[in-house]
Amino acid sequence: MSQTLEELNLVFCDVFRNKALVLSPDSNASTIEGWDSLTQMLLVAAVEKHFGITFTLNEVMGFKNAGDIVTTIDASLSKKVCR
Amino acid sequence: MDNFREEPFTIRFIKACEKADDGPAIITETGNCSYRTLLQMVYAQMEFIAGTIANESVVAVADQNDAFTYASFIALNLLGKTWLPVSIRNPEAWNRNILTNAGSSILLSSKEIELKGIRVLNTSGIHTPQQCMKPVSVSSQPAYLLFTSGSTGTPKGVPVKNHCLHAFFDFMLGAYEFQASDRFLQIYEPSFDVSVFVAFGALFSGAGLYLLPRKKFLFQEIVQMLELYSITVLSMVPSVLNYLEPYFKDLRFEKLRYSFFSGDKLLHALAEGWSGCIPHARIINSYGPTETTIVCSHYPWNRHQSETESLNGIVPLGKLFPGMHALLIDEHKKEVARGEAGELCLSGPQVIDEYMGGVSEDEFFECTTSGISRTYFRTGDKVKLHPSGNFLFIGRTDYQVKINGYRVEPEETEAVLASLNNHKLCAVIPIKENGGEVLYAFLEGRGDEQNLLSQLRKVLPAPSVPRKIIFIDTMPMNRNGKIDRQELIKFVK
Repeated sequence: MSQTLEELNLVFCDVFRNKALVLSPDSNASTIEGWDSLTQMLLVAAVEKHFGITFTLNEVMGFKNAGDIVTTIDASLSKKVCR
Repeated sequence: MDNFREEPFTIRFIKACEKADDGPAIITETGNCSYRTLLQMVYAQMEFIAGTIANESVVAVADQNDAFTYASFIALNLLGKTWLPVSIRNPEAWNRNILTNAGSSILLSSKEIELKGIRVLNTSGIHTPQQCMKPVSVSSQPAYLLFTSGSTGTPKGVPVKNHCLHAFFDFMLGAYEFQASDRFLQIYEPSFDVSVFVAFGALFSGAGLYLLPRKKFLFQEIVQMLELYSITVLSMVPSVLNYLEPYFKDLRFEKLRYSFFSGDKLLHALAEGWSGCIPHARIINSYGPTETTIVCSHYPWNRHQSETESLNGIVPLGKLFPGMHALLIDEHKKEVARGEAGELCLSGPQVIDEYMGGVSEDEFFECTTSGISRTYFRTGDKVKLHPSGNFLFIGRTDYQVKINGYRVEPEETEAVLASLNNHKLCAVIPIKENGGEVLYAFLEGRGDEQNLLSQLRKVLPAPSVPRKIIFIDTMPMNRNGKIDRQELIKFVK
């Protein structure tokens, strides 16, 4: 598990109030109970806060699974470092 | 009385088909259904229903979010029967209960489903009629039967007759210039009555009705559909804006012409932010309980006028449709003086006669004003009339409470709290405690309770400040996208 995925796992546990939740890159709305339009918005806000980044709407609309979120976080963090 | 014609209201669809013909009627993920094809489905289902279940007056229809489902509604209406929409996402026991209460033992469905004790008839193969059946000219049956949402207590069956729908569409199709080139987005389930406006606003105008796929992420689906199909007519409940708000700066829908809101209070600040995303659209706030047929008042939003006319930051409900009559009463059922706040009671061609089975407690009453006797429906909504003639929403009468002898409107606290908290979803509810009532506030997300309470104390009288603010991850919503207050009470208990 990558470091980003590990950190993302902590955010998921917090948002879904489930300490036993274990994320894989393939985890998606069908495999995680309670992941729907409302929790998606909470999740986005929590991830943005945790990693100190801001997603664009297009990025959020592209999230189909946890792996997509990790890829976008890593890209945002590397842009931050480059600046 | 001209207004009380009981011809099936969907007769307008047959007339629209004469012009629309090969134009797209219903568009789903799996393809287009033209007006000609939809009409064939309607005639075929009419034959099927007349031949199979001729004696049934109320027939349930499973919401499969496809053209067959809408064909069932139209076919039942043209045969003078009542449709009862059933959401397949509801618990089975809940659906069975609804059918039992409605006296319906038949369910039409375009996909295979099972409902214990109910005869399910599959409509998916029914698309080739032998002939064009003639619709009934008059129907004594309601067009549809809906059950009011559970957020206010026990659901009640609301039968809406054809004359109510004729009155609604006579006005709406005249007031708004819908065209065959329009593309309507249906985000609602058929059990929410505003879906009837969206569906038949499109189908009576020869326009395209685009059905939102029922996926997990509602708000993202809406954005994608608006962009992908260049939607021109959109109706939403205001709470959707709360979720789109963080992305207002990224959103721009050039093609949208009309953005309707109803079902809950629309905040001026959110409408203003949304207006930047839809540069060529008119925003219309509308209002009406299910008992008054979809909506019966409207307010064309504009930045400057709405800002001055909004009360507690809430956009006005607007002016009543023609033929509708309002009476504002106090707690003793006496008419209040002009300009004073009172409970809104409505009379007119869009108001239903009674609840299913004649059940009605205090909601319908006779009153004579200016020498004319009318039957009024008590909405439970407290409003006042602005000098401009627009009704302003104050709050629900049934949430009004007295705290330490002071009359308190929880909605007022709600409005202030929302403005202090970036207009995030919130609800303020009276809870019985130690023999009296106190206010509890519920806020979506996280925050500093003591800081917010201290800010509230600065702008509200002490009785209006909540005892406690409870932060919750997700505001519970009922099926219609409104905050489920009964569910919130459980957080306290």
